[in-house]
Amino acid sequence: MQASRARLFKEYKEVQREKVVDPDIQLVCDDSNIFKWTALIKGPSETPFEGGVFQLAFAVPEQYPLQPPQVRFLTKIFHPNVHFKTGEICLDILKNAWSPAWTLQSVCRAIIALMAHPEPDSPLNCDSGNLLRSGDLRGYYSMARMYTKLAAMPKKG
Amino acid sequence: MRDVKQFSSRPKWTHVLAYHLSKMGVPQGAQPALIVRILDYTEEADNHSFELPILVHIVDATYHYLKSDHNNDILDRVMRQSSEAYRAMLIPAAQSSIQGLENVRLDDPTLAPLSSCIICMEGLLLDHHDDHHSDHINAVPASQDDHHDQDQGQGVDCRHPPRTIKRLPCLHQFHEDCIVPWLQINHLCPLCRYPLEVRESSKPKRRRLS
Repeated sequence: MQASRARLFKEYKEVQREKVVDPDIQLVCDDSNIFKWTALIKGPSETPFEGGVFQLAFAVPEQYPLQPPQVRFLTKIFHPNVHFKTGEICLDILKNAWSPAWTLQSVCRAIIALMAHPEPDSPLNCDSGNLLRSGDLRGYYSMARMYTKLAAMPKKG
Repeated sequence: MRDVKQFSSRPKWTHVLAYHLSKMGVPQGAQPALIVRILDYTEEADNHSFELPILVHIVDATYHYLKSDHNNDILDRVMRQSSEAYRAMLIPAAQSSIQGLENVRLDDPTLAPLSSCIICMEGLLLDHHDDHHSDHINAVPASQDDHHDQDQGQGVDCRHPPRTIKRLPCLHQFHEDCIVPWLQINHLCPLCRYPLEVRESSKPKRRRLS
């Protein structure tokens, strides 16, 4: 418990320093609980998520960093590896490929990379995975784009 | 662009959609739920007033929805189980290989003064408190710095005795109290995935990733 807290303080300080370095990630710690974080990440360019801002929720276990944080999308996103209802993310480094060398910040980077490079063969969102697997790139793009506009972009007017 | 208000005249569109769904081979029993969804969709899209490529993509999406609504409930369950299974899949290092880890002497030339342990992010040799110059340190909620006043020496950590440093065969170095708990979960080096020896009996336990 103490080890996880100390490590999270380290990361907290690191994040303050890195804010300028990575404008695509805004990682914020809950005011009263260092085990709860949220992140705002920018949809990568040249993807249907471009221009969108997506919110992630982190729940850090007490055994961190020996165990990975639980991360999910709070913003709806149409992506093969994100559960459409729960926002759960299928990403190996959040499961069995976790290593304590990852940080909350680098996990955000990995998620941005996943947004740009979906893995349709291990889908949490079958609709999205099937579109990609059947080669319907236009269908995938337009669905993903629609949800980006609906959920991840400021409403017009 | 179609005047989407028309869609609120649901009976008319219900017929149109039912006709197309039948042509696609969607069973009649499944049609009403789909039609309601499509109409809800278009109305929602209208509320957000942006242009929706209605004809092509709604047909595509609904066709897949039929499968997913059924699958998602199952997936929910599978995901919960699989995240538990993932943890079970990790193979700890053999106790003998943990005990056999090389100790790094404090005057070892490979220990750069600033090198840190990736697990706790503290300095390997001493807690070099690189954050003393940080403007933001006051923003951090107060923590474990009870004996802070005694910590006057040039970065020498008076609070704890020096921590034992271990070196893995891949030459990566960690505090003993950081790396040992990790190796008891997973036999791979946190930095390079170099595999340490595992217990003979744990090898066959490795299960396939479904």
